[in-house]
Amino acid sequence: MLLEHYLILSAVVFGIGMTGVLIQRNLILIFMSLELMLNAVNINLAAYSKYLSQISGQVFIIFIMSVAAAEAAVGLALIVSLYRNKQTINSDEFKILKW
Amino acid sequence: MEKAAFYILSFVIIVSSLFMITRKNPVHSVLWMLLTFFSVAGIFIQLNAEFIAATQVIVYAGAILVLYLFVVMLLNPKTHGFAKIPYRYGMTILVVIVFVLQIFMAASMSKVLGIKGVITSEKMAEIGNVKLFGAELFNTYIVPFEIASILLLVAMIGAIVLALRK
Amino acid sequence: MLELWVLLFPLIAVIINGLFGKKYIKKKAHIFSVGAILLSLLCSLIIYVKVHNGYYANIIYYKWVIAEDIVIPFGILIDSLSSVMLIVVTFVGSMIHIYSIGYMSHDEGYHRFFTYLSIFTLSMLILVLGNNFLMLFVGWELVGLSSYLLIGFWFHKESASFAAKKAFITNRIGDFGFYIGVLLVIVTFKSLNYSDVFNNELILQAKSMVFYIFGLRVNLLEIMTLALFCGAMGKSAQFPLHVWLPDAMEGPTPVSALIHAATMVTAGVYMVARCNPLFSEAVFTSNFIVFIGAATALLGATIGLTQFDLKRILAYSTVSQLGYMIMATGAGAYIAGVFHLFTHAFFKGLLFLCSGAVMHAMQDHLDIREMGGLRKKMPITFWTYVIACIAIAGIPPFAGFFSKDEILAQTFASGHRFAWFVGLVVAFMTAFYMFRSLFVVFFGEPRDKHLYDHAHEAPKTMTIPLIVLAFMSIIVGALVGLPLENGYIHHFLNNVLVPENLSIHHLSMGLSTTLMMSSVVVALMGVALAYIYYMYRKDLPEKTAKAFSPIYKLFYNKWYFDEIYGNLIIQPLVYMSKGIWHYFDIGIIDFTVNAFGKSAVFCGNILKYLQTGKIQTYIFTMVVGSLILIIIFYTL
Repeated sequence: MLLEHYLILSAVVFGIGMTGVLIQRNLILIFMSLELMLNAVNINLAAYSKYLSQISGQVFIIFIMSVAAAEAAVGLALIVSLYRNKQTINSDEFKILKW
Repeated sequence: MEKAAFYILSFVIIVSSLFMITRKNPVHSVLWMLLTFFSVAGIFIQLNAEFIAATQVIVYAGAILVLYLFVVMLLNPKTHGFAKIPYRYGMTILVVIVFVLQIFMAASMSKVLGIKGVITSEKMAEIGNVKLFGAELFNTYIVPFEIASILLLVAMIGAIVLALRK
Repeated sequence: MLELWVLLFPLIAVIINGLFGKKYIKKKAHIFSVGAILLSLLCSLIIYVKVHNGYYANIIYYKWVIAEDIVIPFGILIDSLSSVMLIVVTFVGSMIHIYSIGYMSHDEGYHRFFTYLSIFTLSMLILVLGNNFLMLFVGWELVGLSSYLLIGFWFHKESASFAAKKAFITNRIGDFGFYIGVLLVIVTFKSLNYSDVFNNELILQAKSMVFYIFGLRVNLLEIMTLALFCGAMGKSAQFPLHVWLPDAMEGPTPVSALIHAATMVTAGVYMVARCNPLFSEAVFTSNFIVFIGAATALLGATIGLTQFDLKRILAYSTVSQLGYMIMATGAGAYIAGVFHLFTHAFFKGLLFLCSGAVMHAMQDHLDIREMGGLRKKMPITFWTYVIACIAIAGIPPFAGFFSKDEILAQTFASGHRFAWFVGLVVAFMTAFYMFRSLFVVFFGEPRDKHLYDHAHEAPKTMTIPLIVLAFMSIIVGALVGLPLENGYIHHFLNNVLVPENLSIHHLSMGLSTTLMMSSVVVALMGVALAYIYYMYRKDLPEKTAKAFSPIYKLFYNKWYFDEIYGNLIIQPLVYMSKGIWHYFDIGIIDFTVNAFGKSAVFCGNILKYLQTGKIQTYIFTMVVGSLILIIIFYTL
């Protein structure tokens, strides 16, 4: 198996995750798409780790996972408190970030 | 055999992630995502990263995804469908461009950048993934590891503070 | 080390009062300032005794400015001239500091006042002690600053803030000349140290450098000294830059006494005396100085005759006396000038402090037409005022007689007969207007019953300085000035203030006695005339004023100087500035700047539609940005 195979797989998954972030209206799903993008990066790292014969890439996957866990925790807490205040998690409803 | 496994896994990943982002019901999305994560764990095993694969299943599929599912169930949002995106066509075009460009770049990565290390597949098979991984993590990356633990602690406190009912 | 401590005590007081005055010290601010100046006085006295025993010091503490071959140190020069000035500044200064405790006790800015006083003391001491022109210049500007601060002390009064500005700007005009002078010194002598500059060979060299300006044959030395004298004109309130001094009376009275009578205004005289090797070689400048001095003396005296504001009378008398000093320095009688500076500091400080006490008693009324009969209410003030008047009028054996007589005699001896005559006339006028104020304020019937009833003698902190200064005014002239023209002060200052190339030939005994007699007689005539006018025939002043109506009006309106300056200089400047403001500032600069601002707003109004407020748009923008970056890095 060539490195390129994994890289293409990673690119495709990343693209799908990005598309998900862009088109979803449910904030939870937007977050999930973000997780997907992180996973794509993980594949990338693991592939390089193998093809460069270095273990550091795998260590970085662990760090990315811990960041993802932290992000999920904080992000979901934010969503919960947002829902509590606005009774919705529809991203279309949040339009105050403008002029 | 290896090739077949890779293609099958890749196919599952792509299809399930596509389903994930297109489902209207969030619960379905979460379940499709679970499938994606399992398949990614399979890819990890193929890449001599058994420990990561295990972590992927335990942490991602086991913990994070359950958390998502939990929040989805808790809030039970009646939000379905896609966002109303301004400049929809322009954005579509650009997303397609990014997509193609990424794949093109990944495919054209014929030369491997960076320095070749010493931990080859043979050595990995000889000593064992977890042992090598642990040695690396707790020697070279001990400080970032500690910082990551503090990050998790902070995130935990932050989540509690944010979600606490006033 | 002693020399440095003279400077350090006021500096410490400034720092303590300036930093902690408002919050912590408040009404105790005088402790530091008065303590500092008393310690400085002590140091000065010790220095004086040492100088008396032949001590001379030119101490360089460190090299301040180093520019290629020009090195300007931070150094202190102790010689007889600076020790005399030290005594004047610290002694009169400490009296006035003590006086201020009582005078300012009810003022809100008590700590501020004492901080400023200490700043002033510090800067005057720097001016006096410096051993080079740069330190002189620094002190010069610092006294200008402290003068500004103190005149505008009651800044909530519009007149005070105007007076402060007027003083500052008028001084600036003179200082500009002084600055040019200092630059010329540095160009000519490649140094600013007194010890390098006062070098006969170099001075003669400068004198031989001749060039033509508008067809006039001038040498470098003349221009240099004229430029330096410009500074003296500003600081010592000489015609035509004298206009600021009377207005400076807007400040608190101790300030008028300290700055505008005793010390700061003498800076010009000090500077000319200090630079006597330069000035004595510059013949044209010297004659010019005599002319300016005589003109100022006459101007001040004539205006002083007609004023009704007590402090303004004193201010114009200061202008007139400064004219004397400047005239003496121009005539080459540097010792006489410094001697008069010395005695004048005491009795003029005293006069101002008396006027402060009177003001205090009269609830800040200053018009002498409202006063009268205060003799009984304020005996101490009265008697000290009498002493000061006799001293300034030049009646022996009080202080003013010795110095003034010497100035007149030496002016006569140096050949400036006309200036001598003017000086004599001014002596007459001085005696007249000083005794006029004395008679009107302290004798006769009270003119304002209400004010008179509330009048009272000043508190002890104010009367004690009066008594001390009065005592000094009596004895100081005879103490250092006897025998005439050959007294202690002449020997003391001999090594510094008698330039080698200039000698005023001594007059014969008979002639000098005649001159002395004439000045005494003139002074007594002035007193007598004042008595006749204001005690005996009280209708005479009115009649005289009517008879010489045009001249009276001219004097009363201060020779219309303010009006002339206002119409000729200030108004055109204001119109020009307004024109520039309207057409250049608003029309061009503001327009350009506003155009930039408006174009930014315009672009923002267009581009704001990119900001939809939706998260997806922002993420999308981020993706596009990353895409561009990726393309850039990939193609590189």
